[in-house]
Amino acid sequence: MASYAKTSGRDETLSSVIVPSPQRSFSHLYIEKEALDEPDTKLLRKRFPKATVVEIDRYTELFNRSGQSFAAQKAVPKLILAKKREDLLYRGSPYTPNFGHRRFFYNAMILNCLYNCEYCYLQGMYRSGNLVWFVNSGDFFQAVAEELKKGPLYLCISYDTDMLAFENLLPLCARWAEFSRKEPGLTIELRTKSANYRALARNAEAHERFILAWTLSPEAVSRRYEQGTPPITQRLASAREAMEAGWPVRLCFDPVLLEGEWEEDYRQLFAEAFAQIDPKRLQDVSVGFFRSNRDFLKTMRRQRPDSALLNRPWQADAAKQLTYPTSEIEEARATLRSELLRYLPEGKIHFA
Amino acid sequence: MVRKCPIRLGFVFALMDEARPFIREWPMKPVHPLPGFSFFQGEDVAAVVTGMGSERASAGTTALLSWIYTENRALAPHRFFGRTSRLPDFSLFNIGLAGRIDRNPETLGQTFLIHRLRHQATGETFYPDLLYRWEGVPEASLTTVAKPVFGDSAKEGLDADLVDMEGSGILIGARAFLQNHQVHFYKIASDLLSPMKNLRQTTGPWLQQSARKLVPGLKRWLSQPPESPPLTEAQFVWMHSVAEKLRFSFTRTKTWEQLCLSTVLQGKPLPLDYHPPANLSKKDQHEQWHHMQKLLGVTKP
Ligand code: SF4
Repeated sequence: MASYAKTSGRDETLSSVIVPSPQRSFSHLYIEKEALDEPDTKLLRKRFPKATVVEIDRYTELFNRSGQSFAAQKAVPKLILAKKREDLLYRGSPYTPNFGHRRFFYNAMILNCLYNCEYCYLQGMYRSGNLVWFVNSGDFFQAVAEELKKGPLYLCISYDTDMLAFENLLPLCARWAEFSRKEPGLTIELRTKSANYRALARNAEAHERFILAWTLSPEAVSRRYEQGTPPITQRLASAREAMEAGWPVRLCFDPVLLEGEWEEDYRQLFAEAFAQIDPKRLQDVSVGFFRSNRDFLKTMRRQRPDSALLNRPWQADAAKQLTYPTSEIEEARATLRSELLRYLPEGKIHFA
Repeated sequence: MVRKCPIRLGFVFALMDEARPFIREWPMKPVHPLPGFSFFQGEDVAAVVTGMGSERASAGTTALLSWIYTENRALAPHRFFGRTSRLPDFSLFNIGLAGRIDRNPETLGQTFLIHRLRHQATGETFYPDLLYRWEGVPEASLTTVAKPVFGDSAKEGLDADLVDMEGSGILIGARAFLQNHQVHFYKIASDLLSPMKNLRQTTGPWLQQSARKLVPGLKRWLSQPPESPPLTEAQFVWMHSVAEKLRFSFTRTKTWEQLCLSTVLQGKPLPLDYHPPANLSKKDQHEQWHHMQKLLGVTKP
């Protein structure tokens, strides 16, 4: 997989790195001793020349320890560079839309996210708010190549993070785009809230099996709950640019929050989105309502005791996911579907 | 001293010589809340001097935190509600002397912020969450040993920049009360792994210098208001009195607390004027439970 360890050859300075406030840089890099010589480690160290390097044995001793505060760490996150030795590829969860692909997988080359969405399940899943970057990227490509021998697969590469937000640091998304171009059985979805499309475009060319999926929320929801993410206008501008360059683009309205004037907010959001994005060229849209498993929500509430959103009395659905009452979801689904049908055919609308 | 505000900062020192400059600089006065250790307190700070060694450091830390926990809880119980830490709005600092393993004389007297702490006996490693950095305070790693170590041969297996005898004990003592980001270690390089004569005369000025550097920064940090608790004291007291009067089970109390919290966070008021009758029969308690949910505007939790 050496060819995928290649970088753009550009020496982007830190000032061009799009990372959200409050942290435009990392004060510390914790690096596994075994990862010190990986090419990606060396590249990332160059990106943060002023960071203090602390050598560690295994990332788990730092990331998985008890007694951490996700919220406190999220305020000043540290970057951990490590090697992933197992679980390089996971089967997709039945609660995630698979868009008709039978063999749905995801991987996690980065754990945690630069953004800080109030509803994010990562704060219920991980004990740490720090970021882990697995620098043995070749092994991840190898794992997918092995799985491809068993049949075509659909792979989500930005599952437990927002990978495009990191693209100025290392062109990981571009590497996957180039990899999938050469693997006819592989379709990749890159889900993002970032407006960092140009960083991908610098290093990869569009092709039909690399789907760029932008998550959108009404501006009021985004401002209130999606701390650090680019405004919706910037995300849409990025999506439009990508579509014009020939990338398949998906729009994800997920999680839908039934708050305030949500019907009007979504009407406006769809109007704004489809004024920018040609519905005929759009791959499809995906819609999902807020949902969480009970254990994650319990942890998320502990991390954010002041969150009105997380602390409301959610109800368990048939799949034991905590969400809005079924009747409210059904009504909202009908409303959103009929609004989307003004722009798109039925076949392009997927509900999670 | 009658306490008016919760204690937000705690210090653990092994030796009185280490503590003195900080106690003076703050200032703090001796108090006697518990036997076995020397305690000091200022308006919103407290300190313990534990004596040398990991066990004493651990026991002294637990004693300090138990005392502070009791004091803070009595003063502002609503600040503890819904928080992940058992002792919220609080930070613990260990400041003390440590041997310099590379025996570099230029580092003597320098204060270091510890970013990795290893317990030699168990091999366990701890990484403090570094939320504060200080101008002119470099970072270092620390290993805690059971016995004093001297000479070049002692360097074997220490795998750190500095060596002390208390660090990991303090961590163990703090574990039941604090989260990682609440515990911080600063060490002053005091020797090059050789027995020191006139310790007090040599290290006194270094400790003084360290106190002058750290105390103003810590005071600035203390001047920032703590996180606001999700419930006010009145809301918290009412919520608890309802749970007590209606003799809610543990699970029902948790559900009740979640309902109250959710109500407040949605911007709705709690019916603080309503007080359910006490000593109800089981059946009436059950009816009251439904009534309370209705009052909060919830039909099915
Ligand atoms: S962008 Fe996605 S992964 Fe990142 S914080 Fe928001 S919800 Fe979580």
